[in-house]
Amino acid sequence: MSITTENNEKMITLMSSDGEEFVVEEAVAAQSQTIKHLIEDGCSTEGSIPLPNVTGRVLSEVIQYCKKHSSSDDKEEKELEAWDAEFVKAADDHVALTDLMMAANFLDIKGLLDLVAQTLANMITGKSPEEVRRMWNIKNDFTPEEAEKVRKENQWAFE
Amino acid sequence: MVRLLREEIERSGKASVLSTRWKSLWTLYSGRLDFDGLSTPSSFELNHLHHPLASALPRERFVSWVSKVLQSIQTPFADELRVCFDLAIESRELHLVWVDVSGEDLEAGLSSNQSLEVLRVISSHSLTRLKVCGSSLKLKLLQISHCFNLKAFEISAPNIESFEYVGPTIPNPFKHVPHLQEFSVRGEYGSYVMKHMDEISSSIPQLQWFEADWNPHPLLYGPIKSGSLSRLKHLELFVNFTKVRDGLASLSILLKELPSLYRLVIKVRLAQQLSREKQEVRSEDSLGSLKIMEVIGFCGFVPQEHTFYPPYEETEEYENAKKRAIEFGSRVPPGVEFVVVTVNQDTRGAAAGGVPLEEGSNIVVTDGEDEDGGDDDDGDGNAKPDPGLEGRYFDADDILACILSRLTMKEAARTSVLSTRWMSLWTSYSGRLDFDGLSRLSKLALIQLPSSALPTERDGFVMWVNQELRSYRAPFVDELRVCFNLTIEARSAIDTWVDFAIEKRVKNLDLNLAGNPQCRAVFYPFPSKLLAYSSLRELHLTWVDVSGENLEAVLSSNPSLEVLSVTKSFSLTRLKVSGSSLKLKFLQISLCFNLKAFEISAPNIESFEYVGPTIPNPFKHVPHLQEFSVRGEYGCYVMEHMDEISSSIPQLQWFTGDWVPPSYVPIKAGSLTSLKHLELFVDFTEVRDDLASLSILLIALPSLYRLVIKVALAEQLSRKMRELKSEDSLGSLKIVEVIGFCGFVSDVEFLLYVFKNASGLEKLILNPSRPDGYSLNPRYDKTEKYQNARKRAIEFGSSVPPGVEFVVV
Repeated sequence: MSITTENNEKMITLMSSDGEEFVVEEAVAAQSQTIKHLIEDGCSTEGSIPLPNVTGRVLSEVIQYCKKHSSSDDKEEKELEAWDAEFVKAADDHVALTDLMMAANFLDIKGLLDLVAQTLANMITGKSPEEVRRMWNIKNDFTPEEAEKVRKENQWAFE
Repeated sequence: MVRLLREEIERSGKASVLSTRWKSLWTLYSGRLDFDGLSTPSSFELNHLHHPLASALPRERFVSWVSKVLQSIQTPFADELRVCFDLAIESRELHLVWVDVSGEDLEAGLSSNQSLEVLRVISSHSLTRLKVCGSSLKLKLLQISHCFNLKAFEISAPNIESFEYVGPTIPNPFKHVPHLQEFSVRGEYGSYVMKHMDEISSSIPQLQWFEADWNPHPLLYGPIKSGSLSRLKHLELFVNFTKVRDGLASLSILLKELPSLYRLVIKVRLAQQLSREKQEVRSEDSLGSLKIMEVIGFCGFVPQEHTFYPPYEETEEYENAKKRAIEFGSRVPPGVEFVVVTVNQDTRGAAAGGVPLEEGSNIVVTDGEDEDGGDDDDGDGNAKPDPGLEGRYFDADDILACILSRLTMKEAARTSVLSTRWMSLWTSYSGRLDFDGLSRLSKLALIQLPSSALPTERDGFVMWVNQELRSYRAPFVDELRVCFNLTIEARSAIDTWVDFAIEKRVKNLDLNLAGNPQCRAVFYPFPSKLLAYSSLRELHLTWVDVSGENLEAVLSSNPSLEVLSVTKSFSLTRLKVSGSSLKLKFLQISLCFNLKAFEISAPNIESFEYVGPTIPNPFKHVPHLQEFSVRGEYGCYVMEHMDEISSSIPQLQWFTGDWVPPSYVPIKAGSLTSLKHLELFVDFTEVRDDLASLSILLIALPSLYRLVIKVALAEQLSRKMRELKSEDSLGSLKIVEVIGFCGFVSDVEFLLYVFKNASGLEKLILNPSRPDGYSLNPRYDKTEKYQNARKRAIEFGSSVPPGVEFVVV
């Protein structure tokens, strides 16, 4: 449903997978290329836009990010960087970050995707393979011989 | 066909009865799988023919024995398999899963077993080449899956009706397949098929059923000629709707060319399932023959191997999708039968042995039973490892690849040992490919390396880079950096790296072939192929023999080039950087000792760094130049001609140079009014003991905010402290930093001068370390000299006026 506020801002409604509705300014939501295309295709005029891959909890974080990034201009770059750092810190752990990343990927929000991907990448950096496996529940499906072979092939990375 | 030692597999099989543990261990047996029903027919019969029904049909008994054993074997790699039996008459199907069978074996099997109708080979690593060929072949169905070493494959079979393939890229395999009706292709090869659809479809014009991955990127789809797949009735596509527009536009191009299309099945993987809206809009293209359309994964459900939640049907997401699917019914035009497949406990139970989600995941829009929904993927589903929790967190490889590509190359390579999935992911790393053999060896070690050892090190480095680049699968790579001491001898290898860079559309290319100053070899000449390349954003060349003409050509053919740096090219004698559309922002020319003429006219340039021989004022038109850094011989010239040069760049904000007092000619007042940051390399020695002229420079800079003095040389002068006139005004100066502070007469004198004249001074930073490049001793901070300088710096604190922040680094 398109609603217009007193400020003449066009509002649209997003619906999360668990049925929560969020009313946001179109300019904020349009930072998602996916939503932007949907709006252009006229999907927003028929009611709320359902986002079945994104839960309400994650969607509210995403909207928080989009709001911040649509209201800031270039001058506040430093401040925005600090805000981003706080934002991913608040996401707490890699599970929450991963949810956020899936949402950013689905919604096609480049800035958020970059931010979260970099944060997750930083979490791997400097960790031993065993630590990374534990952190992300990766099952080691190599036989010892294969593992040895792979390690040998990439020996330079372990020096 | 195949011959093995019977006893071994038998003995192992017998071990299975020892305990439950041994029973499951047996399934991991990876020795020789020897099914020899010929050499010991009597014992075979004795052992296996006790069943009255089976005794009459030894062959079928044998086949079922082999099949049963092979199905139970779980080991990923079996060393050897030999099946030895006369399968000639009854055997119509042969399934080989995780069986290491070679192409020759299969060919022999096919020729001796003319009645074989179904052949499935899954995960054979010995299968490198296969030629299915013979005019009397009865073969109807052929499946080759996950045989990752397959390089050459050819099929010429008069009766073949169905071919399923998952695996590496092979050229069009179809020679003579007049009855091929079904073709299913997944995985890596899927992209190839889409790209070469035109060629492949012309070999199989009679195709009726096609299943594949649909890659929506328009570049990856080569449109088929109209009429080349005129009989295709059933199309099943795995679609990843990440780029709504591209995907649908080219999808409709494909659909329009299929005049007989009767049933379309779209399997939506990730992403923007709402593109259904778009799809409806597009249906005005003439798809007259389309009768049935099925969408699996409608509304965001991720089918099959892309499932996050094992019991997906129990989630709310599924319920929502179901609800929307039913609601969608109101949009279906009248006259079209509309079916929404919903889960029922029974179908799920029934499918449990294979792919449990299969039935439940189908949501059928419009008419039709869905039994064909995804059967073709059974092999796929079974062969893929259980995603486990990892699958929950990281569903799609492209998301993982996205994280991976933000790691350094080294960190990313380290993830290859995590699991098989990560091993293959690593090859799609598209971050910064940084082959730094110098830091690996350490620069110092390279210089000290006995010259006899260098060639070995070079060979090792070249091999390493070659091997890594060969294994990369990512279609695009942003950055490639190669850093090692290499000369013209490595030319062919470096050429292939450049080819790689061009093929992967590298944006930032850094060839640093430097290293050994003693090495007087011929340097690698600039690769002419790069002249025709146009995607560069950054180009760094060190010890690459590049001429001015080369660079000018690069500049004109790479409109988005922003960063260019050239170090140590002896062919660079004259250079004219010029063009009103140049995006160039940063230019560095270092140590090109033959440079005689240089001119720059670039509207967007912001920063220019130069170390090298003297050239006249190079600035023609540089309205946005903010930073200018000049060192070495040319530094003196700049100081001498500061007046003239500064008038070409009045907007300059940042200047780095050598302070050479005797050659300084005062600038006109008001010519560098924007300069905020000044960094000077200063000699506080007897010869250069001339603070008076430095003060003349400083007072001519009305906006100066930060002054950094780098003490390049210093000696304790025997003279007494002098006081400079103190009526100069350095009102805007806020921060002063002295790097290489010694506490000698001259630097203390300079600082006292600053205190007197810079009334707004806020901060003083003293750093007793030597400035970059001026200490040959890497452990300078451990010397007594450093300790004394540091002590004097701290003592100097008492002379600092109150209100000025004082920092000793």
